[in-house]
Amino acid sequence: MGTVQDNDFELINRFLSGEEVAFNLIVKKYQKKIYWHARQMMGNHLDADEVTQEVLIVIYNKLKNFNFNSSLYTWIYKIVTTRSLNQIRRKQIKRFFSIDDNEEVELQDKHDIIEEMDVKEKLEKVKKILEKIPPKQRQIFIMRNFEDLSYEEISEITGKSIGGLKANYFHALKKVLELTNENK
Amino acid sequence: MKTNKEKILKYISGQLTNEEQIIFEEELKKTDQLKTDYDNIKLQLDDLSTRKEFETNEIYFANLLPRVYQRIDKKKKFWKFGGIYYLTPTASAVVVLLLFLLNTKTNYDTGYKDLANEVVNNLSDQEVSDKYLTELEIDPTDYVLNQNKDELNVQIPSDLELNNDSYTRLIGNPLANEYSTLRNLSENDLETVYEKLNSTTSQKVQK
Repeated sequence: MGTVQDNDFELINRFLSGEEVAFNLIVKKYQKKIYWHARQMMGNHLDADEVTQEVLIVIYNKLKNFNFNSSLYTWIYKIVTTRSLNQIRRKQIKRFFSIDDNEEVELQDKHDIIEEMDVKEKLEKVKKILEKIPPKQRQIFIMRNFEDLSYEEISEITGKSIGGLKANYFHALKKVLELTNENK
Repeated sequence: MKTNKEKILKYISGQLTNEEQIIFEEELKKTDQLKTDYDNIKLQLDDLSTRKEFETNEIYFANLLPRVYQRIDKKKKFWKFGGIYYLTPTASAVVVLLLFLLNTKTNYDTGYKDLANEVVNNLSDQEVSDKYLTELEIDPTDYVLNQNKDELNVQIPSDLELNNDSYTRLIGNPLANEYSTLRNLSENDLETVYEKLNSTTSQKVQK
């Protein structure tokens, strides 16, 4: 972890001293992690793509304010989680006012970057379950189950207490299992 | 199964204390049913999370950075050249709208807020409708039906104090829409209503 952090700090310093290529390297390193967190949170490619781009733009603009107290990974994760939750809220508001979402579903199918059918089916299955649990529980479920993050790391990212996170994860697990059994 | 499930989920989510955790692990070794339930739950969860990153079309990730740079450049250009063309008319529109709103508000604001507070908190909708509004120059029903369709239920000022279930009454009862006419009353009518409401409210309080 130390070396990873040193490398990241070096990349940030290079970027701050005007080397744009350092930003490219940061993007190359973290883009998939950003995308997959957003993808699991949002459940579809188009929204995940929007979140990923937004996050990268924020990183580009705010990197000058990076204070070197946390790792770059944690800092980026904070941005991704916040942006994903915001995008979910935006979608919920949009859905509340819209009558028909069919067009959007078709559009998302067309643009997906997953080509294998079995992977698509699996993601669809996960999506159907995750979209039925509250965003904050979804968030912790993803961080624990898909990203193997420790409670300490999640606490640093979300700013929540470890006890609260455990309780949230417990409820998320309970709901996920109920929904899995319902869908069988 | 239900008791086992709770226990297993508490164990997986790390909610057990160290002592409870040791007891649970011992029990897991000894009790077949608990072991079966635990394995089932693990299997279900693993089935959802076996692979973290799936294989994807790499062209997407190869194009991501240029697309991001395009958006960054666009934003930079906007603030450098285009912003002023978009922001000036928008800012002017906002100023005009604010002036209009402030101006409109002052026409009825003085007596209206007190009157509305009295009405909302002390009198029933029916009472107001029957006793006060019908005697006035404007027929509230006509007004609601013909001129105020889009404004139904939205005439409650944000600084109005709602002490009881008045808000529900306002939203739920169609008669409540008639309050919207209050803002359109003439000064004389407003004065009349206000006087009447004052005396009725104090009579009610005395009783």
